[in-house]
Amino acid sequence: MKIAVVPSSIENLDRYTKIGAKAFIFGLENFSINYPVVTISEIKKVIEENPNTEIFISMNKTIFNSELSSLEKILLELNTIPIKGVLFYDLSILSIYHKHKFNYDLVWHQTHMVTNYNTCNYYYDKGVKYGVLASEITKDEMIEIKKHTKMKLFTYVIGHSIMAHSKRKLLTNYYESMNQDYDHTPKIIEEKDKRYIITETKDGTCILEGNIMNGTSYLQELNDAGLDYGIIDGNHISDILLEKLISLVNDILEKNSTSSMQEIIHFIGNDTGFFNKKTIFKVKKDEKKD
Amino acid sequence: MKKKIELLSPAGDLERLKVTLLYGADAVYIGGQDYSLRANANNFSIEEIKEACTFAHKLNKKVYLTLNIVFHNEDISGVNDYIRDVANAGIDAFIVSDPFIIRYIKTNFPKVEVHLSTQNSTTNIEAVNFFKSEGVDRVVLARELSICEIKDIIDKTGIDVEIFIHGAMCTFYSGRCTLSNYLTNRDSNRGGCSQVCRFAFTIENNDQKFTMATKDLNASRYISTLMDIGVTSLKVEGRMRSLYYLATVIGCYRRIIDLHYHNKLTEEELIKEEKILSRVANRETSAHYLYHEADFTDQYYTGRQEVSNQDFLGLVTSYDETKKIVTLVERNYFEVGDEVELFTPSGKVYSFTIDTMYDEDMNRISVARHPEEIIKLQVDGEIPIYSMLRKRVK
Repeated sequence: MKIAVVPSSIENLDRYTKIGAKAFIFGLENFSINYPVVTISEIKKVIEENPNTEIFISMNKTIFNSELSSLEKILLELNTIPIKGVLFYDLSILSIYHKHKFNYDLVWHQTHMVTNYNTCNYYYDKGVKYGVLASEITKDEMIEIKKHTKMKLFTYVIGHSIMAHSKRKLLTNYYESMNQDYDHTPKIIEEKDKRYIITETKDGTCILEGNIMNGTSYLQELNDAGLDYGIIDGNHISDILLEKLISLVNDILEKNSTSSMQEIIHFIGNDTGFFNKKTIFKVKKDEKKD
Repeated sequence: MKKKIELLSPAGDLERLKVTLLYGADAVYIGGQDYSLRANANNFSIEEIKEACTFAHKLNKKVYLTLNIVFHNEDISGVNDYIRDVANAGIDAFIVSDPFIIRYIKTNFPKVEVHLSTQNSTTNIEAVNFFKSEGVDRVVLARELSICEIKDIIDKTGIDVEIFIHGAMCTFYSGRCTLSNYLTNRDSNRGGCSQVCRFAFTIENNDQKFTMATKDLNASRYISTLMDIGVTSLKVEGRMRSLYYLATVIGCYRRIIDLHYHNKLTEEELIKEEKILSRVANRETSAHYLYHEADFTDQYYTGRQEVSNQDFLGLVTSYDETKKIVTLVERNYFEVGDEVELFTPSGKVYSFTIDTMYDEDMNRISVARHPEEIIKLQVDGEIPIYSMLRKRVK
C-alpha cells in the first residue's frame, strides 16, 4: 500500500516524500471542495520538484452548466502535464474524459457512494482505473470490494471525515439571520458533546467530523488484502502533526510497528470511524435484533 | 398546443396510491420492501405492486418503483431477482441511483423505463448526456438548479426531465450527506436518514443555536414556466405523507396544470390554490433554487419549525344517493355550526355549515370528537368515496 497525502499546502512536500509519502492529492482552484486548493502553475512546480511522486488532482465539486466550458479547458490543460490522475465526483468529468481520451487516469471519488464492487466494476469498464472507497463502509466491506474488482483502490486511513456538502451558504445565512457578518473562517459546532468542523466557500458548505479518524489499527489487514493507497488527509491538521503521522504510518506499513500505532493514538485518539462499525437503515428491524 | 406534463405523486401504501391517482396524479412512485430510500415506510410487497399497477393501468396511469439506495456489497445478492419480480408485476419504470442497475434493467427488461434518481444530484448537460448514453430514459434533476439551468439541460440534451415541485427539501446535495451515519449510525444513502439537518447545534462564540433546516419546497407559482420550458414530469415529495395531504396537494397541482394547459390560469385562481396548499403545509415554504440562489430566507433559525394541522375533518367512506347521507370517518374535532367543505377527487367542492350531524346509528349528535368515529351528514351532491371533509378555506 502506498501512502497518499493530502497536504495543506505545497510547502514541505520533500519532507513528506522522505518519510514515506508516495503520492499527493491536491484540490484545484475553482473545482474542488474540502481540499486545500492549488493552481495549475503550482502543480507544475510540484511535479518538477517531485518527479518520482505520483500527483493526483481532486476535482470533486458539483458542476453546473455555466462551468462546463472552463472545466473542459482545465481538463485539457491537465493533459499537458504528467499528473497521474484526476479524482472526480461529477459525471461531467467522465463524459468529457471519454470525448478526449486523456493521458491521465480517472479516479472515481463520489465520496459516500463508493460502497460496492459492482459499481466499481461498472466504472472500471468505463475506463476508470481507480476508486476512493467511502469512509462509511467497514473494513470487511473494503476487503470484499478489493476481492471482486480490478479497480485500484484508495482508502482514507487518517483525517477529518467529510460528512456532508451543501450548495447553501449555511454559515453566511446563519450570521445574516442575526444581522451579523460571517468572518469566513471554519467554525466548530457541537451536538451532544461531539464536535464537528463546518467550513464555507463560494461553492457551499462542508461539515466534517471533529475527531480525526484513525484507521491505523486496520492498516496491515487492508495492506495484506491488496488495497493500493492509504490516504492521510492533512486538511485541518497542522503541518507538524501531518509530518509525524506520515512517518508513523510508514513505520506501521514497513515494520508493522505497534509502538507507532500507540503513538498515533496518543496524537489523534482512536476514533476508528466505520472500519469496524456497521450502519443500520431498517431501524425497527435492526433494533429488534439488538 | 402545450406539451402534456406528468403530475407525479408519492404513495406510501395502496390506499394512498389509489387516492392520489383519483385526485389527479398521472403517475405514482412507490417503494418496495427493499432497496428504497424510505426504508422505514410501510412500502409495497410484490403482490401490492401488482395490485397497484393493475389499478393504475386501468386508469391509463403509471407506477414507478424507487430502487435508489446506494448499494453495499451485501445488497447486491438478490437484486436481479427482485427487479425481475417487480418488472413482471407490471411496473412502468425503476428510479435508480446506483448505475450498475441501469445496465441490468435495460438489457433484461427493455420495455421498462429507467429514471435516474435525484440521489445522483445531476446538475449539468454533460452528466445528463453520460446517463443518456447509458440508456437512462429520464433524469430527476438535482433540486439545486434554477429554471434557466433546467431549460438549458432540456434544450441541449433532449432527455425527459423530472423536477421536484413540492415537499420537504434536503439541506445538502442528495447523495452528499451522511450526517445521519455519523451522528446516529443510520445509513442515509440506504434509506435510514434520521434528518440530522433538523437538529440544533451549538456554535462557537454565539448564544443562538446553529440550525440548517430548510423550509419546504412550493413551486406552485412556477408551474406554468416549468410546463412551457418542456419539463416532462412534476414530482411531489412525501411517500410518508397522509391521505389528506396527498389529496389536497395533488388536487391543487392538477387544477393549476389543467388551467394553464387550457390558458385559463389566472392570478386569482393561483392565489386560491396557494391558499389551499398553505392549509396542509406544516412548515413554511419557498421556491428555493428555482428562482434564486438559496439564501437565509429559505431556512429556519429559531422557534418551532413544524405546526400540526387540524383542517382535515373526515374521510368519506360511502354516500347514500337516495337519502343524501354521507358517511365519513372522523379525523379531527368538528361540531354543529362549523363552516366546512367536502371536496371530491374530481375537484368539486361543496361548502356548507353543519346544521345536523348523526352518529353511526343515526342518532343526532352535536360534536364529533373522537378520531375514527363514524359520522353521518346530510349533503346533497355527487360524493364518491375518498372525498374529504375539511374546514372551509376562506
